[in-house]
Amino acid sequence: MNVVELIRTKREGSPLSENEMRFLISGYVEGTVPDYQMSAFLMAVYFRGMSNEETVAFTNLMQHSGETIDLSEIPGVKVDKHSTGGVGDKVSLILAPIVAACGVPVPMISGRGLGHTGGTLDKLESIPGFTTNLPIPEYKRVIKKIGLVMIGQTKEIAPADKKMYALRDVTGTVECIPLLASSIMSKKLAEGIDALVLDVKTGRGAFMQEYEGSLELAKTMVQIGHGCGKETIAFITDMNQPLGMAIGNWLEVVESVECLRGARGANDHSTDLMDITHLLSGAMALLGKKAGTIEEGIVQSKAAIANGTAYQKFLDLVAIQNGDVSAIENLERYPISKHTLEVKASTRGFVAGIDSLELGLTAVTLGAGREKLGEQVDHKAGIALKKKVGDRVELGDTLAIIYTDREHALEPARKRIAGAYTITTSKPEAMKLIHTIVTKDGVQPWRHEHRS
Amino acid sequence: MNHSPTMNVVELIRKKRAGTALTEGEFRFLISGYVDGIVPDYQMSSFLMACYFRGMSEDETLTFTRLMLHSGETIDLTDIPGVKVDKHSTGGVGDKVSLILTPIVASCGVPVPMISGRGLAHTGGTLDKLDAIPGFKTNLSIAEYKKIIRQIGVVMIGQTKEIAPADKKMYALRDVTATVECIPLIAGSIMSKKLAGGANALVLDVKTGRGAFMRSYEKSLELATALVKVGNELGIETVGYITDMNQPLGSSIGNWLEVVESVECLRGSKGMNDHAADLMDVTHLLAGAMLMLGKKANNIQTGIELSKQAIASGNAYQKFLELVRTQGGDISMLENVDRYPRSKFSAEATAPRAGWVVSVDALETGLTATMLGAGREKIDDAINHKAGIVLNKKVGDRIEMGETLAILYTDRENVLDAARKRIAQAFAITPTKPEKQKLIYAMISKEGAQPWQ
Repeated sequence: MNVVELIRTKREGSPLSENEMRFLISGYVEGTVPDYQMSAFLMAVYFRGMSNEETVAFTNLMQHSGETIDLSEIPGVKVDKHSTGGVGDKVSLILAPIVAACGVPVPMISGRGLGHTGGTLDKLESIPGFTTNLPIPEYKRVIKKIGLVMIGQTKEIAPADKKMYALRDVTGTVECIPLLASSIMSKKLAEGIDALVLDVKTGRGAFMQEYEGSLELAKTMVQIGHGCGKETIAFITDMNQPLGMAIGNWLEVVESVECLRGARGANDHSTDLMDITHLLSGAMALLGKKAGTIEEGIVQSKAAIANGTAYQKFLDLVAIQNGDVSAIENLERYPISKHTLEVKASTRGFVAGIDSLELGLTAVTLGAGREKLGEQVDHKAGIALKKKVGDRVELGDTLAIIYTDREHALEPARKRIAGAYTITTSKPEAMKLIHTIVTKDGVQPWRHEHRS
Repeated sequence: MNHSPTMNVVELIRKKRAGTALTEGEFRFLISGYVDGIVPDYQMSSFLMACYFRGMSEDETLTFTRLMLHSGETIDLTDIPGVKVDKHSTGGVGDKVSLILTPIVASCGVPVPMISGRGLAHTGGTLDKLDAIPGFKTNLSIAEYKKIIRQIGVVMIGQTKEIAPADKKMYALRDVTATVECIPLIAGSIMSKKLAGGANALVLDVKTGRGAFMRSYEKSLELATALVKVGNELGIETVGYITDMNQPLGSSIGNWLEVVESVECLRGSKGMNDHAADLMDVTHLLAGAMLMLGKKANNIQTGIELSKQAIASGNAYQKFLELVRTQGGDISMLENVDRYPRSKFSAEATAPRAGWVVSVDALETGLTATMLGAGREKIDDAINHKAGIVLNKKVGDRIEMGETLAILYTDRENVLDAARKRIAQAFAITPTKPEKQKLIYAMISKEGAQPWQ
């Protein structure tokens, strides 16, 4: 088989066979297909796309380039959740213990933050002692014991994806739906799950800013999931303003703990966060056969917060993964950033928009995120929002509070955050939070939004 | 994986990917970064694939070509009197025009500084044909190149490392990343090398058809238009012709075999009303255009007449012998072509039935010649100068069953039978006489494209 001919075939828009894909991917992992041929192939894929069959085959091959964890010895339907990434998106921290508390095992492998988006792994690591780099036998031991485990990607999982992602990052071939979908799904399918719930973000702070792109990505991932024999449901949810009120790793852990304790999340600035959390938990409970419908699952999710079992499960998780439970129980004992600054409103009116991309990028300048892979993050740094879309503001009201150890970053961040708020004289209409549900049966608008 | 410093390469790739034109500064950053090794192959190949899909504007193509040209040395021939004219062919099967045309034009008083390439895949290269002449040196230094053209008004060499190094590196990458077939990239590659050679004017032979690089007429026209535009904009008067490459040109394919055919045409013993007539029609046309651009003829028709006279008078043949001698070649071998060593094996491909030859597939013929050892599949394969094919029949010929269609020459006994079958199949035979095929389709000058009458 000739690599140049395969590139040319894709370039001309003809589909590749599974064997041709295998030749390319295994050759790439082994080093017989060099980076410069793979990047030309990937750019051809960017322009020509992939058929459904090709995308499923591609994902399968990426998944099987490494180990697939076997969790069949663990009873029950194992369900995971994946988000395409957003600003203030700490849903996994709250949802994973809720769903596990409802009796559905949750094996979760998460990623790090990059650019303006945060990553679950960085948030977990802000908890003193919490270990995310567990070896696979340990991963299996933890989920068997408490029905929940949260780690980072190990080198055994989908090495082809790891190598290819690094190449795509530097060759302008990231923003391609079949490549995005297969990258995400190859890793998720390797975790040993039986079913998957996807949270595909759309809007300013999302990876896909346009709704059409988000929908296409959601549909492709659902097709791949089912093509690989795993029931998959996707939701398209809003990322025009940050989710909840905290942005930054430890700040987000604090908000998550407060939500898990039930002290936040109802009629406050974490309501949007909990609406999405309960929705996704409900869908996971359905796929995990603990609820007959998503609505029933949502009720169970709310009960797990109200009766404290979700919070207890979170503490179990922290304890078993070597985290300091007392730090969670006494949030105020955590070190605070050297510098804080309040961002004040310069006009009165109503908050009509908060640019989540801008806030995510500003949080990076404060030390809360990274511009390039491998950079250190400051767990304490971040932004706490005091006003969200729809809120009334008076002149001089605090919009947000900045936390950072970088004194020089304070003033530029203050200006940037103030600029990210759009304030209008009339009250804006309520923003839609959950747009669409995508299942194997198709795409439907989501109309079951319950407010707690 | 290293991120490139200063200007962001990924952003430039994304810009091209989105279909936005790059600025001169951005192109300079990419090309000089590539030559210096700061921009790695894997970024350049994804950029080139984005160019394949998005193309380039006219301004971008000019900028790109100029930057490739200035990545290396440009040879200054201003101290040599006269209008220096070069010719370039996009490559075909049996295309030995340069060997005949160069001495013709030089013998008419127009200096011809020619830098040629090697054959690849089914197409031959002038450099390989010259190398088939014992002793002929094609790897001259730039100083020797200038000395010879001053002395005898003609010189033929290969690309030196000083000329367009960016193109050299990029072409090797395009070859292995399926980004060769992209008109602005082809135009930049051809023209950067041609512009570096020091000529004042250029005649282009853009082949079209089965054995051509561009099979469709539309693509050939697009390429010719781009090449003529770049040449004229970058200061050398350029004229292009689109000529047929559905069947091989002349009757021989293979390096030494093509030298022999060229010598016979230069001597005037071949090329009229025989199987080399198409070869000489194209040769006289291009030579005529070069003589016009070189101010030795007022129009192409007069140029063609001068070209024919140069053959008839023996001046062109004498100029060829002078060229061979000056570049270290063995003239006695040209004067007695029978003394050349022969292939160990030969075989005849015969007609399976009677009728008329309606086509001879140039691509298949070229690929078969490569099988026989006459060409290379990869850029650094060795070639056998003796190997090749001589056609006994061409399009329009009447044939009887069992008549010889072609003779194959090779040192590889194991491929002989397969090659013979392949050649026999490359001939399409019909019961009725086919219509005469067009050989020269169009002329493209800075005024535009015109059909050739």
